[in-house]
Amino acid sequence: MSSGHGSSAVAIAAERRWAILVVGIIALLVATMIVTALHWAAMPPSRVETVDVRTLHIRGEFVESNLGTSIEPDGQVMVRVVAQQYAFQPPCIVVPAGTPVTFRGTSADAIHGFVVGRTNANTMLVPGFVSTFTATFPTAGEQLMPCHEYCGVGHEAMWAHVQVLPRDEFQSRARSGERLSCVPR
Amino acid sequence: MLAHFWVAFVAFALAVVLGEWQMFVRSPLHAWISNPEHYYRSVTAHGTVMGYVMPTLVAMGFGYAITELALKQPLIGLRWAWGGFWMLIAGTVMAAATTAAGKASVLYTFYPPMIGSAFYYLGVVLVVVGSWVWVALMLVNLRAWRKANPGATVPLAMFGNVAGALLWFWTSLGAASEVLLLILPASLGLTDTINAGLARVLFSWTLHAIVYFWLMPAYIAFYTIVPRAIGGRLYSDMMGRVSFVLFLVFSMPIGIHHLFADPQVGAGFKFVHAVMTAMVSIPTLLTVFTITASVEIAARLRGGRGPFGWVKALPWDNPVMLALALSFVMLGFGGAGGLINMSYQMNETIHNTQWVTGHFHLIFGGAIVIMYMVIAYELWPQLTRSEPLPRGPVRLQLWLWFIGMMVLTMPWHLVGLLGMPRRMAYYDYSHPDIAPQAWTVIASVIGGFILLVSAVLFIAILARPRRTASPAPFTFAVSTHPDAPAPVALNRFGLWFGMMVALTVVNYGWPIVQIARLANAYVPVIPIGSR
Amino acid sequence: MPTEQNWSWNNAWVRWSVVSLVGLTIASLLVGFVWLPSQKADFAADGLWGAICRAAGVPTSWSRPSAAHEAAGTQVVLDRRMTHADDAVAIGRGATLALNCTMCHGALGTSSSNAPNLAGQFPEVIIKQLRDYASGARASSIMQAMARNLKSRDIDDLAAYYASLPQARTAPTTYDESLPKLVRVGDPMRNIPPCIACHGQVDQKIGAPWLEGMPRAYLAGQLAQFRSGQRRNDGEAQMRDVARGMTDDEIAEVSYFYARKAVAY
Repeated sequence: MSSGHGSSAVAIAAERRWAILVVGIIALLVATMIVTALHWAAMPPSRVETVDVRTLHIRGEFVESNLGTSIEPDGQVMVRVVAQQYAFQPPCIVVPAGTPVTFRGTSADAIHGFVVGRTNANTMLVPGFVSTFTATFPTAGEQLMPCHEYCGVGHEAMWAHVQVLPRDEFQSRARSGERLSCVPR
Repeated sequence: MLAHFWVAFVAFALAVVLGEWQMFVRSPLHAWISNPEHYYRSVTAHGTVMGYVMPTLVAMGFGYAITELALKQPLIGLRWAWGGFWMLIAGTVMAAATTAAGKASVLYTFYPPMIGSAFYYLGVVLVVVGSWVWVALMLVNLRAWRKANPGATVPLAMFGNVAGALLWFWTSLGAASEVLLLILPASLGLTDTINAGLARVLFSWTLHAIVYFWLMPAYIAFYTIVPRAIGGRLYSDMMGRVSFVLFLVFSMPIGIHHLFADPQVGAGFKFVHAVMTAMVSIPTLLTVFTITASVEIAARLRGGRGPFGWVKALPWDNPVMLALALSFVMLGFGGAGGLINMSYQMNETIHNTQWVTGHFHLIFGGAIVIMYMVIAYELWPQLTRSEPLPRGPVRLQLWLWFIGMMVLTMPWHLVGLLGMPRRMAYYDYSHPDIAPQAWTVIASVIGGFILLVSAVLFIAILARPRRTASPAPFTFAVSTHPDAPAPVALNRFGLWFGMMVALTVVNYGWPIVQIARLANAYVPVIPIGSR
Repeated sequence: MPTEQNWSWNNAWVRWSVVSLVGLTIASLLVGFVWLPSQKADFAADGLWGAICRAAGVPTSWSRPSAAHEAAGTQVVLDRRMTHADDAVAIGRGATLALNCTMCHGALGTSSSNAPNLAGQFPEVIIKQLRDYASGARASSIMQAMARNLKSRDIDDLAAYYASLPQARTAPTTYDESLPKLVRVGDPMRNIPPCIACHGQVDQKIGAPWLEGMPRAYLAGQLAQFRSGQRRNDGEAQMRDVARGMTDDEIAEVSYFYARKAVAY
């Protein structure tokens, strides 16, 4: 059943119009990614850095006394956290509202990860690597911070808490050089 | 082929039971399970069957059927095919038994440094190697056909089939290397450390394209079965070929979009993979157009009129028509979710939340598996020498699958946005932040139950065909311009396979080499289920 | 149609698809590795080539090193090699050394006092605790003195010996609702994982001791010390995090549960 060039040309033209539309949609998506990458403070943790997993608790940035929230010399708010089977250390993290907070974290054993409440603070924690990313918490209050990557039989009990304090309250509690957390002593 | 399908569908039904049990025990309807390890054992089994065993068997069985029906020649290498099948069975039994004994509760993604029993991984390896036998046979059969028909255009069904086989072969190398080079030495006690970051990168090599391997049989059905089944023509054979080669080129070298939130991969590679992932949505969008146009042809042949009125003229009592529509609805939602996942920064909000689980159940368990059911229904008369299966029960089963899947997955997407994390055996619904999530899990239990009923009905329909001496011959769809030969680029695979390999080198070469050389990336092994 | 045509540049399909793929790849590489990183201050800190390397994932340091914090707790690195301890010669040496321990820990490693049972304990547990006693990371006037007299090989030998002894309890645990809640399911909102997830009943975390059959007073006392922070030799506060949320009743309940497992059924 040969339909001749006429109908075939119509069909090809229709396909071509659709293909152009499709490529346009894709280009729009990619452009959105590029624009967001340029203008958004929060980026996925793509700053590759390694650390020795065996000696985390002995020396270096992730010893127990150095974990928690701090105000760095340049004024940046930094949270250092270690994930292990089956808790985050510190299990209660304090952050100021409306301020960019930089998280640096790693794992002491398996692959963990966390998301904070309904925010986009979300990362994987891979042993041997440090995850660095920045997020801002607009509203004050308490959020849950579960581990979201299966890390063993106790994974379902691995929930930390994040307290988002109003900025002045955070400033009054924070002292430069000290590590802050909301873990009851 | 019958053996492949039966094993696939029985395993599938069992896995659906496990899935529903899982939904139930982690919902507010059930007290917290006394031993959380049982939950993870079930998740491992459910994922291994649904992700490795069932779709592989369906693709293989369908592939053998296409080889004989489309090329119109008996399958060369039948004994090898059986060998591959038994290898798969042996692997499945080994992996399933090990998991059932609680020695491999590592989930089907088995991320190191957690390591289970070596028998589980060996089982998965056997499944994959069994499928490689199928890949080789597809190529052997195609080559024999080309020799017998020099210069002829490969039938579209076989073209898509071989594209899928080549894609599967190349993509399975990632997880195969991860298992053979990293995991098995650790699991057998030959080494005490393992490169967890590298393992994740190698697994991501397989993890995305495996879903396109799963998708190929469904798309082949879209192009080559649906138009014929509803009494129409395929709008464009060439577009079908273009889609298949685009899948072949772009499915695999984009896996790092599963690692957007990982710290071991640099931002540059994440961006490049995101862009190429956008490219792989093109063949789906092309397919939607072509198949809708093909369906419109069928409608107008039945007297449909008007820019939208032709929809009413479609053969809605035909189960294939129904399944196509239901599949497209699920594909629409699932595809939209996929576009969000792939958009680098938007991914941050939903990474590893229950949105992801909802997404892949909808798109794979929904849009694709419903087409697997159509494939089974269409081939069954040929395979079992029977009459076409009864339309009423088939339509009911398809509707139940669709409704169950929508009820299961829509609340699931929502609860992911509410921040519910993945892969937990129970949740404390008494906490004020988690209490609002409870209803979504109950809804998913209900959806899962509907799916369970549908799965049982599916098996029941397949188990009781009405035998006949001479089943109707099986034909594939005819395109609107059947005599137009395909350009040689759309008739051979060398160029496209070469592009896929080249892209792999560019997109994965440096990350793999780089992470492998980092001393700190080698971390202590964590045995699961043993010491 | 001759097959050579597929690879020939004359074939329009080949030309267009190769050119557009190469173009797409180069464009995305340029955007992803050159343009975007150079717009971010910390990526571009080392110039253009540095930005490209960082975008590619070459590891570098992303924060200024803060003042060095000295770790005050345990200095022990738990190594998987510590978990294999079945060398017969080591066991023999350990048996001799263990004669010094029988006063408190029992002739066969099963104590009748409140000192913990050592029989059948995981070897890396004994190694870590002895080393922590020796360094002072774990406090006990008796144990610190005894541990300081031990050389590193002595510790390994003792661990091998005790690990080879049969465990104190004989009754297997079945996982049903009769177990205390914290033991089998923990409490997620207080971040208390189920005890069985680490302490060997369902899975064992390296360094987590086998608890079944331990003296009740010892278990309760150690949990109380973890809760108050008095005992601090758990790496990255893992047990202190667990015990902090436990009430007195819960401590008593889990201690009782594990202690009574010593009774043979």
